[in-house]
Amino acid sequence: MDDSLASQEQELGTLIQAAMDVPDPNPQFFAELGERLERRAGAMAEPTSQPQFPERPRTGLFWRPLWQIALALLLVIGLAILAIGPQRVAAQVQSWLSYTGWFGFVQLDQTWVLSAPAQQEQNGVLVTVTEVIATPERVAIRLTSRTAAGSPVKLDPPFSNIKLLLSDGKELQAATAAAGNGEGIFEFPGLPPGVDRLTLVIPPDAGAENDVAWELPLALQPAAQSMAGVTWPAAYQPKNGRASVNGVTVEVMAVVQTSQATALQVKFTGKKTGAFNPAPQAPSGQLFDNLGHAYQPSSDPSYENMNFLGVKVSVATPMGPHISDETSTVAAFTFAPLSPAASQATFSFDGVSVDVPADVSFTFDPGPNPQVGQVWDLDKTVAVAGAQLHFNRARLTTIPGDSGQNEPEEWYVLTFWADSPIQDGRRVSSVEPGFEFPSIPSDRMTIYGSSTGQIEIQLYYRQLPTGSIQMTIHRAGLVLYGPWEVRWDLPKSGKGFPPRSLSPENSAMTVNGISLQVQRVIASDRLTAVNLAVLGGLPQGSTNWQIVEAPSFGDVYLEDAAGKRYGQNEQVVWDPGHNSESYRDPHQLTFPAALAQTPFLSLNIPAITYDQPVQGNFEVETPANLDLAERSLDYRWTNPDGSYQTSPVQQLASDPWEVDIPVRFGDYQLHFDQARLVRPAPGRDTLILHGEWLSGIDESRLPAGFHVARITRPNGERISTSLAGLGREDAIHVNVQVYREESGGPWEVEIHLPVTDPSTGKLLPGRYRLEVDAASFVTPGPWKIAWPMKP
Amino acid sequence: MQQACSVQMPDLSKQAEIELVASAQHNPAAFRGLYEQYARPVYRYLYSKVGNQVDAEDLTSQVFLTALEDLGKFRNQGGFRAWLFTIAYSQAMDYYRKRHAELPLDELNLASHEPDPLAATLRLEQIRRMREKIAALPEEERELIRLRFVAGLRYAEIGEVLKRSEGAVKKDLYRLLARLGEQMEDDHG
Repeated sequence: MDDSLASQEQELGTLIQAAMDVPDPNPQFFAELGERLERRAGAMAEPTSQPQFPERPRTGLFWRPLWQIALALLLVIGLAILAIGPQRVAAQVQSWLSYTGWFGFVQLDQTWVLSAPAQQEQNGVLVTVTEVIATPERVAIRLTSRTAAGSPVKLDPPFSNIKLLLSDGKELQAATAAAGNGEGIFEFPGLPPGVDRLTLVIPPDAGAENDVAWELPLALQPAAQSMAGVTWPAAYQPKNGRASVNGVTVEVMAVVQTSQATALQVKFTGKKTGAFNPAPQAPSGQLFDNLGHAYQPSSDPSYENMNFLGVKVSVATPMGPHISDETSTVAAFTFAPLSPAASQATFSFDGVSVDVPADVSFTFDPGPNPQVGQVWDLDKTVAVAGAQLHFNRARLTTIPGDSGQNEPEEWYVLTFWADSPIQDGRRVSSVEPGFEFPSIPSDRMTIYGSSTGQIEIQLYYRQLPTGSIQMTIHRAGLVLYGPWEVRWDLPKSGKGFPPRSLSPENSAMTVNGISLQVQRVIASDRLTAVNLAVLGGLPQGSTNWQIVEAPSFGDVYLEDAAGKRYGQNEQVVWDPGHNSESYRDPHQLTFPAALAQTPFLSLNIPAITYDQPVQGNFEVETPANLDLAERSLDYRWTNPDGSYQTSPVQQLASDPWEVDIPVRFGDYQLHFDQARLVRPAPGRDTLILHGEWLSGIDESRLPAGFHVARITRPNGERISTSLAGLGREDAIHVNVQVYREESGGPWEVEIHLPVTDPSTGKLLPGRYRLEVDAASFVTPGPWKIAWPMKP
Repeated sequence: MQQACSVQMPDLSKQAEIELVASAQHNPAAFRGLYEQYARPVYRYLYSKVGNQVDAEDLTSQVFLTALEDLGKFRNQGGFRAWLFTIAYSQAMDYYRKRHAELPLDELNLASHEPDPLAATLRLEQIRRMREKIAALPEEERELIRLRFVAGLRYAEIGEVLKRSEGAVKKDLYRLLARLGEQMEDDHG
């Protein structure tokens, strides 16, 4: 079939692609999102004492439906109260709720399950429907396929034709299907009320010989009456399982613990201030136990159990006039299973985001004749729902237009920067502004918001913006800071293997002159965490040493006495201080729990990298008036061992030209011999320098790059590359790649230097001076360090 | 005039992808490389689903910001591309769910680059008919078309995104293309 498929694709593919033709991303958007990701990546890389939230675009997609959801929620509350009566709700909820790993939370009184497994045998293959879970929202069917001898048989039905025939004569088409070797799960839309007899129809595979149709009649019964075929773990509600901070209440409504997972139902309640939506912008909550384990969420929070939660809201919030002041949303969180040795758990949530209406404005006057490149220092503070937003700067620049339709030759871009310090546990993270010049409408506006309170707004004009401008903020996103911590006692769930800490002796090894030592090991029934240190051998003043893997170096792994290897896994990490210390310490490695009785463990470290301070500088000339043409250039992906892969990238580029630039920093000599100008997007001119690393390295000390600390532009501007973050358009990033064609061959170097004038968005030709302050190296191992696990 | 262009995602080798992802997991700044590699196919895939630039840009932003934030959780099962497009698929599904929108396949610009005017006309007619055929397909089959011919995913990667086996994806695509081919032939006849 593969050949036939390839032939068909060849025949129809071009036509289909033409019919499905869609545009490429706007280069401006592409460049801006790239910069935004870089800023976010920079913020992630730098530890901060401030609580951090993932920055997500403020698009309206997350927000608009939420008040509708809240409204629907309140309706459900009312109906539930009418149907059940408020006093009975709490008890009912506890008996109704359960959880199963392959389906999620279920409300048992609204769930139907298979009354008995259904089987059919044809051509020596036995298909058995083992489980069905049917709720008003969806139906999930789990089945197996085996030979008479019990061997799994691969199920590969044509997905689009799988259906359910219902007892009322209707049909449901499969919405999703996952079929593997010997098992499958098919999902369908929810059943109509009253339907408890169905037939699963799997049509024959026309492409396979002797394939047959499967028709399996299924009988359902209420899950609340019978547990047949399904094991329902009991849900419990923690005592005092709520925390209120900053006007927001986080409540752990239900917990289900199984050997596969720990699942939480969590409700967030806040004052209705527009849309209230804690989860999409907040970090996933973390679960801790009293032993020092931190459990990472195994998937994004799910919002699929709103009906059940509607009922529960009524328990927490008695019906009354004030209910219209509050709104809630609920999420299901799933974590790795809690340690059986733990007696207490803490669910922690650092912050939530809310969307609030605002009505604040101020006036900005760039004057009658603003100049491109002009900067205005501002000092305008506005209050938004109790948070302060301080506009501190504005700047006028130009940027070349894209070559697309309706694009001007160049845009005038007016950029505003604002910051929002944390005050009273809140700050502004995004805004929805409006700007009005009396007569000049802006064509486009981009807004960058961040949970660090940095906001950047760019307005694009086709003509020079002059005169007074009225700036209005209609809505804003706020981050409300907690932390919210909900702690509860865990039911006894069996014997565990509580963590023990070891400081092994004689656990050091020296390779290529560098000594590594295992300093501490934490071993528990959930993890093995190893702390590593460099005892000596790094060049004087070296910093930032890290463990690296590469194709020719191998992987980091732990090995027990039986030879079983464990790769790194951070589903559960060691974090007794609840401060993400394991993530902040690059020398703490986390693995799954090793065999409890292993007499020893050994750790494999394939290579390390480190930075060495050096001093050096060099200059490069960027010519004006280079001809650029669309070319296919190789984008290079380098590995720490110098190997690399390339992929072609289409972009505007000049012909390469020869240069002769010797570079020396410390004991290292490089020589650049070729240059080329590329323009990946308008306003993103980049000079690529290519050369060779000539001296100061060997196979025990491989070059990994160098760090350009400062750049002096042809106009005399001296820029530090350490600047980063919103509002720092003068920040510049120089990409340095070091690689070689083959092991043992010469080392080549390529640097990518931005050469655009940030004021005009155009090439700034002339002489650039680059100052280097550090070089990076890799020393390969492996270090194989073993230690006894006896206390 | 838009060009009806062929799209095939740059075929970064599996090992290169693994290494690059590992690099970005240790140093988020390296994520830029992944973004530059995959921004275009992700955007085009999302555009083909939502049918307008504004929402395609919003969703593309969400996909890459989510991927950057969640990269630490990625474990290389099934490959980064499949993981990234699973996020894109999921974001698009949320978009439909929240907006109750119909899945669009309209407002595409048709253009031909045939030098011969008659050939160009015939080509445009073929494209128009193919568009009609695709528009009439069930959504799951259109999704196969998008993931294969707009996103440029491999069969196994499509399987990862749709939670199906590679073989099942191949079979469905085989049948789908055969049907489309027959329909085009029938029209012609």
